[in-house]
Amino acid sequence: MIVSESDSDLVRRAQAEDIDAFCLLAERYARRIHLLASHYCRNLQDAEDLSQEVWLKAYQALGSFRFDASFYTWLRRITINTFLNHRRASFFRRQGQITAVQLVQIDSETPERFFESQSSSPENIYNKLLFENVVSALSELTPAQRLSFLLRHYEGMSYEEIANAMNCSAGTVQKGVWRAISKLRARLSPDTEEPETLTSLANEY
Amino acid sequence: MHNCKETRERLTELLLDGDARADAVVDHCAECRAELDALAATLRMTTRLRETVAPSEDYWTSYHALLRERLSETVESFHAKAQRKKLRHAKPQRKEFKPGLGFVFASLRPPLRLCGKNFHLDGMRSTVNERGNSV
Repeated sequence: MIVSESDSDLVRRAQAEDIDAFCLLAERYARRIHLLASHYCRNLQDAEDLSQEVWLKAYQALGSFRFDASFYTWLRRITINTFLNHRRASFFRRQGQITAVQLVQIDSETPERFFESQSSSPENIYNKLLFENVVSALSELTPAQRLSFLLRHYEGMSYEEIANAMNCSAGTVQKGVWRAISKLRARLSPDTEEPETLTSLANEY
Repeated sequence: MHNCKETRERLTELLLDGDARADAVVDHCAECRAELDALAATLRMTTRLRETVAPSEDYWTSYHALLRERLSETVESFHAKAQRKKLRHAKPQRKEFKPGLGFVFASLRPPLRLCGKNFHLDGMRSTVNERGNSV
């Protein structure tokens, strides 16, 4: 019987420069980090780069992990900082007039490789449409609002926890989350005037 | 007393927390009920994404291979940087100190010279004073 090592054991090994141990931790949590990144970034390649950057930063900072909180809580903190720094980096890139090229990439890129099933079944098509709509609605928010929503909804963090991690007030976080939900509701709800509402498709499944 | 605005704000929180009391809150208001249903549908759809946005196993294989490669590069670069830092901050090795006659004379020379000069001057002065002319 194979007993999987605890996070703490793997962290201790990784702190002693055992890359294999760190990769095992990455295999455990990469999907969660990647999910957040894929909703945070408009560009899917950026999402992959960003999630990998989180792991590289985590490895470099591993010496500072003191086992006060769980490994994932600590990792999430690094994730938030990396995401917010990415926002600043994007701003500087925008200043460099690269945005136009990136927008072309967004438009031409399809989220095919983010879905396990490559089939053209109605359900899979629906999921892809849904994903594009959600990411598009979230992209209308500021990065901080977008991140607040993802942390609240996907990670189940409280407003206070998010505010603490993002260095802002709980009220600001709450407003961001509400704004995100309102945007999503407008985009996804059945009473929108869009020709193809996702909810009508959703009712089929 | 029922307040639609307050109720709707509360609904978002109840839904996000998965609190079953959301239904009870909108029991007597059709508008709030409709709002609850719309919000619940929205959140259900985004929750669905959490389950469906799952890249294929092939994707993850290459993802982790790339990560491992980057980690190895990071470690190598870290060690190289540490080595350079170590070399930069290492104290320069001093030559081994071997005291010899040169050092002994060098250390004695200034006082001797001083004494000699004083002695010579004093001697000159005394010579001039005693004999009336310089020697």
